[in-house]
Amino acid sequence: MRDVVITGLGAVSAAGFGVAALWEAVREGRTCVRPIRLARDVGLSVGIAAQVPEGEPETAITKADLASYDPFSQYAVLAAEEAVAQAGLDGELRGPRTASIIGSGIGGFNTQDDGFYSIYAEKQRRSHPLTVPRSMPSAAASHVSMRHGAQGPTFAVSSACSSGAQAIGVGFDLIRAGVVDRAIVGGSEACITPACMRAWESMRVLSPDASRPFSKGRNGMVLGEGAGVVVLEAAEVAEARGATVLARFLGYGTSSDARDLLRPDPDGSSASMRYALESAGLKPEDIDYVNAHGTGTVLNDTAEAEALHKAFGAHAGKLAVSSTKPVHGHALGASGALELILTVMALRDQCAPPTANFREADPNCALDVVANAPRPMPIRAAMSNSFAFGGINAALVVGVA
Amino acid sequence: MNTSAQSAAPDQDIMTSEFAGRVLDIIAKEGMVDRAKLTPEATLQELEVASIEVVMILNGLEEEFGIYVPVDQTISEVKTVRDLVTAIHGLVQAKGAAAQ
Repeated sequence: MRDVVITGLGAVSAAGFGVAALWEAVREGRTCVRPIRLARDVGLSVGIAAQVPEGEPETAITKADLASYDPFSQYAVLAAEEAVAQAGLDGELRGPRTASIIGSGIGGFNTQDDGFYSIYAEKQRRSHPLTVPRSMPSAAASHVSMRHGAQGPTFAVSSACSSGAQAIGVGFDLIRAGVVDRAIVGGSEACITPACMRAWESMRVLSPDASRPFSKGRNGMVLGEGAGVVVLEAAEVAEARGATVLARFLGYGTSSDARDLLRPDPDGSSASMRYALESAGLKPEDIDYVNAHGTGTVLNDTAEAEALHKAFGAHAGKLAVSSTKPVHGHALGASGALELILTVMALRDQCAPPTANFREADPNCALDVVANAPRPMPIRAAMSNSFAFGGINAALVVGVA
Repeated sequence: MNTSAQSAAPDQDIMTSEFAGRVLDIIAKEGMVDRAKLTPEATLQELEVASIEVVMILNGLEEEFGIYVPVDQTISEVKTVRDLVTAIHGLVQAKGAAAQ
C-alpha cells in the first residue's frame, strides 16, 4: 500500500474565500453566523445562518461557466482552484490517473428551489434549460474534473453530513490501492434557501440563537454552506516532483449504525474512529487533537462524547477536542472537508482551534473541550469526525508532514 | 390562534388543565397514539413514539401555540406525557412574558 500526502487545500465558507480567512476566523473563535439572507421571505422562526459572503473573487471562471454552475458547483470549483494552485500542479492532473470526487448532501438546491418556485408559484411555463445539469449532485465533481482535465474516477459521494469526509476517504483509498496517483477531493453544499430552511426548522435541530457544541445550555446547530477541497497525492509521486507536503494523510474509517434514521448511535460512530486508527496503523495515544463533528445538538454531542470514550478508552480524557462549527456553521456535505482542512491547519500551526460560544462544561460530555481560546500544543496526529443522518459515520486521520 | 397558557391555575395539576388537553390532542394526532393511553405518567417509549414522531408532535405544538421549540436539555430529557406538557407550558409562558 502506498503512502498518501496532502499537497493542496482550498476553502469557501462563511468566513469568505480561501483557507487563510477561514483559519483566521476559526483560530480566533470569531463566529461568521449572521442574520439570514434569502431570495424569498417564508416567515422563518430561525433567522440566522453561516452563509458565504456575496461577491466571489475574480478568478479564471468565465461568465459562461458561471451560468452553468449552481452555487454548490461554483464553491467547489473555487476551492479546487485554490487547492490545485497551492499544490503547484497544472498539466500533471490531466489524464486517467487523477480522480475528482466531491461530496454533497443535497446537490444544487438553489437551482431546484428557484426552479420549483417559478413553476408552482410564478406559473412560468419554461424551466431554465440548465436546471438538470446544475442540480445533479455530481455536477460539482464533473466541473472540477473538466476544469483540471482529471479523467479518472469522477463522482459525488452523497451521505448527508458525512459526504465530504467519505469523498476524501474514498480518494485516499483509491490512491493507496494504486488505482490513481492523485485525487481532487472534498465536499460542497449550498442549500440555505427558503424551502430548505423551512425543512431544517421542521427537523427541530436548529438553534434560534447560537451553536454551542459540548456546552451546557446548547440547543441545536446553525446551518452553514461552502466547499472544502484538498489535493491528495501518492507520496512517491509528490516526492518525485519535489512538492511541498502539507500533511500526511494516514487513515480513513467509515461505518453505518444500521439502526435509527435520526438518533446517533455511539457504537457506530466509535467503530468509524477505531477503523480510522487501524487504517492509520496508530494507537489511540498517538492522537493529540480531535476536530469533532460537534453540531451543538443535545443528542449529537452527548453521543459523540460517549463514542470518543469507547474508541479511545483511557486516552479519551487526554485528547484536546473542539468543534469549529460555531464559526463556519454546519455546512452539511461540505463540513467534513472544511473540518479536515482546519485539522491540517491545526497540525501545521501546532495549535488546537477553540470551540466558540462555549459557556460551561456539560457533565454528559466528559471531554477536554478547547473552549473559546486557541490552545498552542504539540500535535503529532489528529482526527476529524463526521456523522450523518441515516447513521453514516466517517473519521479521517492526518499527521505532521 | 390562542396562545394563552393561563388556563392552568397555580394550584391546579397542569395535567387537568385545558392547556394539557390541547397538548394531548396534538400528541394523539401527530404521534398516532390512542388518546386514551395518554396518561400523565405514560412514557413516550411505552407509547412507542419514535424519534420522527416526536418531531411531528413538536411541529404540531409549534403551530398550535405559535412557539419555536429548540431541542435543548429540557426537551431532550422529556420521558413522560407530563414532562412534555410541562416543558411546552414553560415555553408558552416564556413567550407570553417576552411579548409583554
